[in-house]
Amino acid sequence: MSKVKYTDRSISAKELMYAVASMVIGVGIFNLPRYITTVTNGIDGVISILVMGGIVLGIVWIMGQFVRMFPGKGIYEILLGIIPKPLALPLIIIYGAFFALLAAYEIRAIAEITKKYLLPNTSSDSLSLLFLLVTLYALFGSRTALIRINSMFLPVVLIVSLLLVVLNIRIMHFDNFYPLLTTDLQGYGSGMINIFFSFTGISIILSYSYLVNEPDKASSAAVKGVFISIIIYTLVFVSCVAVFSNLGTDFLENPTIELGKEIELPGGFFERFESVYFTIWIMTIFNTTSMSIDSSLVVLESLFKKVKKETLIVILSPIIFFVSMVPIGMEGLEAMGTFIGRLSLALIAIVPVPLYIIAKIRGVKS
Amino acid sequence: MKKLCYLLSTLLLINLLQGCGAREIEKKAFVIGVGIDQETMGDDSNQPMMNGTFQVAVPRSLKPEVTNEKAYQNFQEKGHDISEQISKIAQFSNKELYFAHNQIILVSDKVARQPERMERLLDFFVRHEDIRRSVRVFITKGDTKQYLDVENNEKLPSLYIDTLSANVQNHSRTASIKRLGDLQEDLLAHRSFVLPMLHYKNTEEIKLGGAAIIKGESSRLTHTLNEKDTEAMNILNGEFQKGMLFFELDEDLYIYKTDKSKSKIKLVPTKNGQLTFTIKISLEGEIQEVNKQMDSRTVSADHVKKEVEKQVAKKIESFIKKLQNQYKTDILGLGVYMEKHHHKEWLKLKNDWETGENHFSQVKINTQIHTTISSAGGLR
Repeated sequence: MSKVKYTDRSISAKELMYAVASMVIGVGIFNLPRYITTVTNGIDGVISILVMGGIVLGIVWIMGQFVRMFPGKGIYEILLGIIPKPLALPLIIIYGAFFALLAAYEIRAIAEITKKYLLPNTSSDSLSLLFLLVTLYALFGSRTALIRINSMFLPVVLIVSLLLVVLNIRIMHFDNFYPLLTTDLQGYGSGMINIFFSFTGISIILSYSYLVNEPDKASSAAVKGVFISIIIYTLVFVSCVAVFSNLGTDFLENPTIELGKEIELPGGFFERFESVYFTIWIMTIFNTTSMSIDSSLVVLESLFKKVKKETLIVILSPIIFFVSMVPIGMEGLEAMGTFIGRLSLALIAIVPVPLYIIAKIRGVKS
Repeated sequence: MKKLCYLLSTLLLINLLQGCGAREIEKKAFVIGVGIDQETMGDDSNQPMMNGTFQVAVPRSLKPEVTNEKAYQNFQEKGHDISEQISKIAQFSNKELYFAHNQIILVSDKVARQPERMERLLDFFVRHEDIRRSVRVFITKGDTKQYLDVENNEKLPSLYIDTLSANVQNHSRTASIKRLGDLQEDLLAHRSFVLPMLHYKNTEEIKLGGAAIIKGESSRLTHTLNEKDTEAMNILNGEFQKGMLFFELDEDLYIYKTDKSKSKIKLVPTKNGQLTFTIKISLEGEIQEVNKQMDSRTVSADHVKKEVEKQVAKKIESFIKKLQNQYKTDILGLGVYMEKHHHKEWLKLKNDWETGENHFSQVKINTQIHTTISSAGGLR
């Protein structure tokens, strides 16, 4: 047995890839099919996924380039290196708030879905609190360890997601794919905007940039990570349309869970496949939630260099909990999700591009 | 290898994480079948009254040593909708009805005949998180109550009906079994479709046969098909697996059993704008039985083949005529085909397909039948 040499405080490019893939899939997979079927016909939504996926790959590559330009630098230092402080300061605060908001959304979403499918008699506030406490336990530990958990969980998530598709082949109606290409351009466009929420997870490349010990490989690793999630998204979307039809998917609250519910295997043990899927999904959400709170902490740490991490956690976590309690019912949660989606579109898809151009014009050297 | 071991053990350990949740099994009543009947007695509200029958399994009496006890219990209650019935049942039942293991939903034809009643009732089942979309739905002739009391060597009536539907591959005299999920998709898209029908025979037997047509526009049962017409429909829809054809040829009785059944719809372009469809039917099967004198040879397969094609053509032609002129309901999937493959034209036809101008009854339907006889059993 070789000794585990995890004393270093940095992550490799491969670990970044796992983290990105797991973060992206964790947030987006549950409602993704519905977000697209509302605005497209038949299987046309695949185009939205692939085009948006392509754009996201570009954004991710740009983010990776930031890591290359500023090796070992945090998100705030990167911003300061490109734009003047009066612009960088409000922007970094917005980023910090965004990560906290994302974490709040996830905590609430996991609580609502757990209540709905697993523990109907437990109130969602206590579920949220419990989940938050577990994430806090992870947050008090080492940051690199938090990122490395992804390498352990992601393969399992991928296998189960593939099983979700493969085991449903029996009841798929491939006729549901038709009519082809009848969606108007506006439909594809809003499909792309809706789906961007599912790619929110790429934001962690910015916050964890300073940990990457192979800055040259950051871009390609992140691109690979996103590529994995595009494949999974496409497969899940296609199977949802094949199983429920476009209209049917549109009317389901959580199409991906329903996809798990459709599976019936003989033998009893795996008959309730959704519970297996659900358990695994909670693992991923645990990862993503802790990483988004942690990202918020990264921002706070760069702003308040003298304050200890533990103090920041104690101050931040109650705020996140209260924010997560704000939306009323599923509808409120949905509105919060839409808001986060639009915000992330601005912060993650749009902002990095001009930043990159400015950095190139000003000739920032790596 | 080592990595694979780790992965597998993680996968196995994850299963332990689930536990059984907070569901206390002994406090649940496992519903295995639901029946919905019409209730004449109403109250002030405009909504019609329903009578729900919820069949609950009694696991204790399913053990082999307990023979004289009933293995099931039927809870019955009146109410405008399912939830109201359940909440009324809660007043006299000490266990909570638990729907995760529900197998079948029976809807009485009287209920289904009312416009939009079915979709309103089924809403509960598709909305409820516990209920699977693979629950099978049947229309019953007469009240569902009696169906849920049929007892034979199968101790649970719901299970009997469920296994009855599993045996459907040995005949083709009923519409194919419909899952709740598929039903919801059809209702959502306002398509016409068919559901299999159950007929009550006696206290021990139920017969599965025929089909109930649910018209898309009003989502109500409009007509029922007898077994002969159902066979014709199955041939046209390519669902005539294990179907039998009986016919006379040269004074002998022949029985042709299909193995594979396929059909394909195609829109044929015409000059005068008349919508013309061609349905290509291909059947593959074998000669199951010939009632002839033992010493005479089986006639050549070609000869039989032609006769089979003639028989099939006769069968479906009269059915198509009936469908277009009498029922005026598109259960052949022509509308679906148009929607999927000729979307632009469909948008113009859509609103007057089965109602108003009724394009469906005006379209021309040609059929091409192609059969093969793969074997004639062990005799020549």
